[in-house]
Amino acid sequence: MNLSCPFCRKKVPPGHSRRCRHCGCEVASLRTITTAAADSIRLAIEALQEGRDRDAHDFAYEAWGLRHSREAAAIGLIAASCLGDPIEIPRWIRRRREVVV
Amino acid sequence: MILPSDSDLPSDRNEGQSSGNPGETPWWEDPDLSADDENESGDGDGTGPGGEEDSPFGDEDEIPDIPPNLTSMAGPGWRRELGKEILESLRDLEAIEDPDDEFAPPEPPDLFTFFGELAALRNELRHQGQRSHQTLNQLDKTLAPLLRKAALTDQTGTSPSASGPSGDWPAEHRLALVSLWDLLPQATAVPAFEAAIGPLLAAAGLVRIPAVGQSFDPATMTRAETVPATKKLPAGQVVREIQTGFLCHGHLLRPARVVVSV
Repeated sequence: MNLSCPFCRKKVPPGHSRRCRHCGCEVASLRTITTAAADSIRLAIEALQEGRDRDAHDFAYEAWGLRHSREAAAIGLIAASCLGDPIEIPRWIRRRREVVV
Repeated sequence: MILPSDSDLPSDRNEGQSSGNPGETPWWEDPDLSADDENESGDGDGTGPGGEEDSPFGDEDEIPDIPPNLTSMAGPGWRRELGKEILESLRDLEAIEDPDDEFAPPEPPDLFTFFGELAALRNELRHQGQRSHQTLNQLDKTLAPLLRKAALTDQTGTSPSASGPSGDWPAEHRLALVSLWDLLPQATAVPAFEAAIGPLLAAAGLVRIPAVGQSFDPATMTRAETVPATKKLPAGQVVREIQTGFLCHGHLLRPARVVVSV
């Protein structure tokens, strides 16, 4: 996932730099959160592949809580559809609309 | 059972009925249509529509005959109107917003957004601190010659004003001191600062114009606001000082802006 500086909105290149090279804003914590969200999405995909729909849904929700992203919304919607949950499906549709729009 | 309206009939029949031509055959007496009805209701084994086993309506005798003068209750073009209404209803359904959008509580922000705002605020604070540091450095550079001059005055015991009405102080230094004095109400937390600037004002030959409680003097004061006079507060008295006025060696440097009772 791409990372942008929250202060100057410039793109932060991947690496281990703790600060934005344009404005000096500290981005280390944001990088950690982004990595954790990507890990959760990866776990959700693995769970979906193994047929563990409930786990996939939980991982997707965890990723969504860490960072609102298109990937998390898509995986969450797929997991909710696999579960056939009539409450979670519209929620994920709304979440996906939120990040897509 | 929905009967076709006049407009649904074939054009030749419709015209025949609407014109009231008695020579035309009405649709319910058309032998072709009767034959179609018999074919549709028959089950293919030769049993007629009037058979007791085949009729879904029971005995044929119970079905009332359609009177020859019966016309459809629906107006002309009812199919088109019905289709239009259904389409409008579908559009209305699509326009209805998701009720959950309104009633569901808003979702909490994600951790990324929260930490992003926190990092942006920290960075802004850091930038403001740097700017304040630069401003203080600049102020220090501006005040340094004034402080040196004041120290020299204390050592020699002579006032710069002794050298003449304008003294050795440049006009911009005096104005800088006056601006510094204006900042004092905001810097009341630093009493040492106020104590330091008092001797500087005296060294520069600046004297504050006393205002509060005095009578309004248009020569040294400017009336900024007025308040109604009371028994305790006679008219023409200065109630409050908005901006301090200064005299430089007896000459007016800046008039005081005051609130006067009228």
